[in-house]
Amino acid sequence: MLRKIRIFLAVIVFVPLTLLFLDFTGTIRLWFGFLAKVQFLPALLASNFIIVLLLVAVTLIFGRIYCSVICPLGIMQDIIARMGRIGRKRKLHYGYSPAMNLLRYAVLALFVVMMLFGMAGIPALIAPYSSYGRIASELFAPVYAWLNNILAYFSGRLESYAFYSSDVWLKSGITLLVAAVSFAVIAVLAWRNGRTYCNTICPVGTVLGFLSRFSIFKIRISGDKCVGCKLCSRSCKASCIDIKNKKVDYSRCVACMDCIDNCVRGAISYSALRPVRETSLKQPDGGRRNFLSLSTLMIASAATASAKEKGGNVIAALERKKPYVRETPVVPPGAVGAKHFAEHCTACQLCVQSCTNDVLRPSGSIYHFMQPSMSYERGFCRPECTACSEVCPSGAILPVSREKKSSIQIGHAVWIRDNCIVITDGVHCGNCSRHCPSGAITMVKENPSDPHSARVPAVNEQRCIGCGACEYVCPARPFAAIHVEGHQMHKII
Amino acid sequence: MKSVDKKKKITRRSMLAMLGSGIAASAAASSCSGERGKNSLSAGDGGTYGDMTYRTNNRSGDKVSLLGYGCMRFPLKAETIKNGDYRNAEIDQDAVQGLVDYAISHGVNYFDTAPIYNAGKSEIAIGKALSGYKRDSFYLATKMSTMACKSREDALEMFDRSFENCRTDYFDYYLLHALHSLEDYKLFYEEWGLLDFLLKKKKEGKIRNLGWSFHGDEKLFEYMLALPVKWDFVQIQMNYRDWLESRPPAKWMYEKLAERGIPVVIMEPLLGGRLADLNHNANAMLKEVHPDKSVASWAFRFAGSFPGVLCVLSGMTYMEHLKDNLKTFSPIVPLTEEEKKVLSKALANWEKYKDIPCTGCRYCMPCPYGVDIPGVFAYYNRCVKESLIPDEAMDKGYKKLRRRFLLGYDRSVAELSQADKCVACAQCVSKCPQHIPIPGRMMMLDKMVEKLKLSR
Repeated sequence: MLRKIRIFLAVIVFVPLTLLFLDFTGTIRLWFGFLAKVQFLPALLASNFIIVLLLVAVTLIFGRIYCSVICPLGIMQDIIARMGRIGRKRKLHYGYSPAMNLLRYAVLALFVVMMLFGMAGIPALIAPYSSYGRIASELFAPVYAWLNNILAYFSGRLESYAFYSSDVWLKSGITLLVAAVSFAVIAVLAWRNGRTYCNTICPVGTVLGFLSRFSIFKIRISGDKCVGCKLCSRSCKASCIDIKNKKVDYSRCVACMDCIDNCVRGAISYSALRPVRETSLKQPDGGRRNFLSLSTLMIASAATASAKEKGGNVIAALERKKPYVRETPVVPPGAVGAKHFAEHCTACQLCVQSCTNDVLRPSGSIYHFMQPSMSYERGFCRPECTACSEVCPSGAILPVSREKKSSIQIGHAVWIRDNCIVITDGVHCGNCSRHCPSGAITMVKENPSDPHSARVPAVNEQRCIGCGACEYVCPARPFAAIHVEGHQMHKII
Repeated sequence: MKSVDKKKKITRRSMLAMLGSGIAASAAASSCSGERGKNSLSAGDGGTYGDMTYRTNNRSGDKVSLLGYGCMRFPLKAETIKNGDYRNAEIDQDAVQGLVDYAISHGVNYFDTAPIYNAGKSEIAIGKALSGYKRDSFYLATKMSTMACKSREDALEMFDRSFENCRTDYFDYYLLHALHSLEDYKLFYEEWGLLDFLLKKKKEGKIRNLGWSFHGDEKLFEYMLALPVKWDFVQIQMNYRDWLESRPPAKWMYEKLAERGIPVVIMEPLLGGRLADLNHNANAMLKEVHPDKSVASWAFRFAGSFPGVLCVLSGMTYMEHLKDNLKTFSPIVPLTEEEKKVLSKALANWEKYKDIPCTGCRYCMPCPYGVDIPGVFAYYNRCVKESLIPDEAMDKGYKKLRRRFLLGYDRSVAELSQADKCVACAQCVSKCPQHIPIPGRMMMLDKMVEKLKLSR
């Protein structure tokens, strides 16, 4: 029963959380955006102490149920481990192994040190939530989008507007590679040995494992009932039941309740107290009470949670512009500045996935490894959209309102004379000026002494907010004649 | 005004003409548009007209049918239209004969052609079609198309060739074609002396009525009326849209002519066919009043309501156009005050959501900056026609319309070819035969899309 509740809650969290990364319509985040914000490390980075304290409290009461029902990477491993059991001769193939505490604490220490030194990008490689984010957005999302595009194709043929197609494009090769490698490694580990990753590498697992040793509710083996059959130990994906000594390594137990279901003698219970040694006192069905308290609290923890060519190719303009290599990367309004952003971002890719204008993409640069930056070949940072700031769980992009967004200067436009079609093609243009939402571009005479001179753009850097509308609509190829350079520190203008 | 229920007297002669025309008509229909033929040619259509309304020309006493046959849009042989280019296509003479026979047998007696229509083939076609009729049973109009003349000699040759083409010794009506600027008028008609030439020809009897067709401004119009020439008629563009809207307004021109007693011939009563199909809502307003009458009939009744109008020209390509118009003009029923109110409401709605007169000829393409000009216009027009343009954010169904419009836009026009990519270099403008100010329209559509995107 407890196991079923655990699975039920895990599904309830995992499905919408995954959809959060797959959805490109901007609707799922309105309902389930909170699921990303209750993740441990992002909440910690966002200084969201209420969430962190609640998660700590939940762990101190119930053990590491976080790892079983809230962490998407943990749930994904459970799914893979379950699939690993299919076709296996020995259905219960796990077994006890001693904890690799040295490795665990060493990884954790290294992780903390690197975070403190502001190198969030590299530790983010092993952080569970952002790993899952990359796997979902780099590996699952394209499949989802392709399936959607097939539906969109037919819906288009039927004049229906239920589905529309979404562009699938390679945003960053390195991020895809990282996602693929971490998926492969974690999948193999999970397939073979269940929660190895969680109990040796995952820094969140280590921290919560430390706490869960002191939790009130634990699985407990009743020495009297136990016959030492090892069924529990063989069913334990965390390899934490040492049946010889009738001991459980609570730092690794993720409270999955598999052992309880597998124990034919009813010797394992999930309870607050040491099992009463076979007294005559018949407890009012402990299972039921446990179930009630557990389900209330699990629900409570879940509720904590609730705190895109036609025409011939001869026309250059029909090809996409090449992305500009910017001196300073452009990061979204709400990111405060390059430093704040780099320190808080776990590179989970949720903002990249939520960016309906295809502006955000993970950076391939070594300094901002997989952390998103902006570029404007496929769209620009539209004034009405604040999606990335709404979804960011780790406080790297702080929430901004539409009104505030339009006054945050994240960079400024730079005109490159040699690329401008007014100069190269000798035609009238002014498309950048027409599309500038902040009126920062004025068309001025190229030759001031000639009253009939061609007009070229002049950027008012004070007014420019760096949204990239000019860069996006610029007809010049292969590079735009006007592009945005990022600012180290964002400012309100 | 004759009453509607007065049935047409069927004499033996008109009976034969009707039978003949019926046969010709079915031939015409099958040769030009197979799919439309069946409905419009249902038996009995021909018998339901009353009598054609005639107006008398106070200058010459001509009794002219209020519906005149415009010869600019004769049916073409489909196989001679190459890649959508119909400029050199052949006219379907059998179909023309069928239309002309049917029109004459139902009282139409005014035919208006010009040397430049169908690259000269219109004059030949109408000449041939009318050759079987007695010359004094119809009125034939043609023009001096100076836009195709490089010299006085060209113009004189054009004048002579019209007689040959139309197989006639005289023209009942002859026009100075499409006057549009004072400079050009002075060059052609004063410097080259063409006006004196035409006045001389009138004296000789080659021309019975001399007039002009007009596409210019107020200044030129007043100049023409001030000339010491007694014009027998003037042809102006007049319809319920241009009545107040155009420059100069048709109302102003009509009143100037009416006060001088100059008979008025109307061209573009349907605004090139655009008033035959407004938009979903505007059409519905008109249909509510007269479910059985075409939207086009309102435009013809508007033009025909004015007593100073001698003749309303309609370029009828298909038999169903002709039949519908015959119903409207046999006899004409002027618009009532009530109907005028409905019409102005429909017009206002249409003006608000007006389509762009793009015919999709693709002369503008390729755009050097990748904009799919006909694609963008076609999408917009489709939405206008089906009333799918989201209007005010407060309106019911706005959200749904907005989503539909934006998604449909992305589906119809590739992202890199949408209106926001127009740089307004204006290289397309001179290529557009419809004189659409393409960059301006692109900007308008871009703004509309931008507004929709913002109104989330």
